[in-house]
Amino acid sequence: MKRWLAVLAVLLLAAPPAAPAATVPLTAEGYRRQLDTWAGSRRLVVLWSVDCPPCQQELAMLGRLRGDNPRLPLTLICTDTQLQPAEVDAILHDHGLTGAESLQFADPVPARLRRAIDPDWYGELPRSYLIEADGHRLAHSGLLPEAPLRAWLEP
Amino acid sequence: MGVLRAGILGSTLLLGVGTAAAQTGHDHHHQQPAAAASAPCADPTALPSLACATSPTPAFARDGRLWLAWYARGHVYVQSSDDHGASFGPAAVVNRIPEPVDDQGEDRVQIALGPQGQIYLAWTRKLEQRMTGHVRFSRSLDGGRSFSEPVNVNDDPSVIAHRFPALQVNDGNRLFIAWIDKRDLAAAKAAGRDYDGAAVYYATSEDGGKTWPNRKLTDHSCECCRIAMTLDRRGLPLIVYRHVFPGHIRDHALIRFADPDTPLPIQRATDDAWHIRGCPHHGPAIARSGNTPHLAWFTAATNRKGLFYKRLDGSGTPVPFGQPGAERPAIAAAGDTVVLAWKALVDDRTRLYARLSHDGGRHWGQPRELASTDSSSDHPQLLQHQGRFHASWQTASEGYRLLPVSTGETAQ
Repeated sequence: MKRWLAVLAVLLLAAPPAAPAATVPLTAEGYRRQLDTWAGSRRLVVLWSVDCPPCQQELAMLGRLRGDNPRLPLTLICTDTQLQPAEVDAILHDHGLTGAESLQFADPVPARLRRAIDPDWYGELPRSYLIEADGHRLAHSGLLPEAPLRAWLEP
Repeated sequence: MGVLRAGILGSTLLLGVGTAAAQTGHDHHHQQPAAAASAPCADPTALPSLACATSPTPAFARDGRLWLAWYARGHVYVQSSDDHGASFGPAAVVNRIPEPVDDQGEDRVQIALGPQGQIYLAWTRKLEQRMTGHVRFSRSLDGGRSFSEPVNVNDDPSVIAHRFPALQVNDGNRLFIAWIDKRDLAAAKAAGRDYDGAAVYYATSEDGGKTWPNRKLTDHSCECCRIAMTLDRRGLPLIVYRHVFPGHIRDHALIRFADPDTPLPIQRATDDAWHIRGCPHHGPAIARSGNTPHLAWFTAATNRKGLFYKRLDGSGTPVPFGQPGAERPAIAAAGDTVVLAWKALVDDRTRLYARLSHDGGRHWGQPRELASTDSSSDHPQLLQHQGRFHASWQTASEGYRLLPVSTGETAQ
């Protein structure tokens, strides 16, 4: 049995790297660069955590929205630092959100990244930003009501 | 099949050491920066050490000895200090068989010292599904030389959340544990009913922790915030937690006890009227001196955002404390002295602050900075022994620090 475990351990250690995860790490500096790439068009940015049941409801709702509108300008930011990016991908996949831009907190001091995103945000989740093309944004804490969101997303 | 799973688990524990300190559930928690992860904490052959723990929890014994409980790589450890944290004795392993433990600020190992020096511990054992756990208990009756095999405190064995334990022991050696429990939520879901939040359960043990009859304290607690528990003058629990009131209002509630087996109906403790269908991940802190409980909490209500304090004797109006960005309130009290602590990111360093009152919380001195770090950090803890206060703080770069909080009358 010990040999089995040893062989297994070697195999796991020697396993070829998995396909790169779609979820990308995000730091405070990275966020500032991210804002530049978003400039000029509307975007919905939603921060979420796996340790947050309302966040799972939010992701399910966003999955439905994206199903109706595959070109939904959506960015998801996972605040869990202990998950592997592939795990974040898997959770999003479960909600039909594969392909949406996915970022993950990776700043060694999470408060720095929170502050870079929004000094008025205290970390409560889910947290959403409805960002207009001119950069003006509306912040919301907690579940987003679906009907007003659909209305906002109407072209 | 069992061999395969054990092999994978074993390898995962080895491989996962590099991110061991990042076993946290929310961005608020301590995270080893990439540079430090290549240092001793990431080396699977190095001995586990306090410096690599995420959320060590301190407690004073009645004899003034400081005890520290922490978790690393599958095991809970305990160490003691006779010089207020300047030096610690060797670490004793609590659980013989490794198990994954929630070690992330809000949900952390609990330690309480009994009237005859008994060492009592509680923690959340993580189960195979995310956000689930069992509340575990172990004790030492020989000063930390040996520990009992951990047992489950929750009598519901389902793979759901039984997490965020709070532990106290009174002068009669009666133990109390309260925790967040989702068995009622699970039952509601199975029956197709709505159910907000989770429930708070408690158990009290008269036999030093051998048996733990469970009782529900309340439905509809916030499901991810720590529970604050202290003891009143009679040695009975005073519990404050974030409750979900009708209309998705998250405000705090207080539970007192008439006797160890008789909790009283919840009383509303804060009136922030914070409407949020979401997770604050930010629980309260409570301390008691004389007949007065003192409460510190976080809220982001429309008209009240940040950290607040009040006396819980009906006379208290909320007093804001801490600068913008202040988080993780801690509180301690002895006699007329009340101490608040918190941390905040200021000028790109995370700083630990304290503030004192000498008249039971009616008036407060200026905040003073106790320490800072440029790295990640745990939630600060406050503790006191015979009127001497200490702040306990784990930071990635500096490791563990126990800092005296001077309560001299000199204004800062």
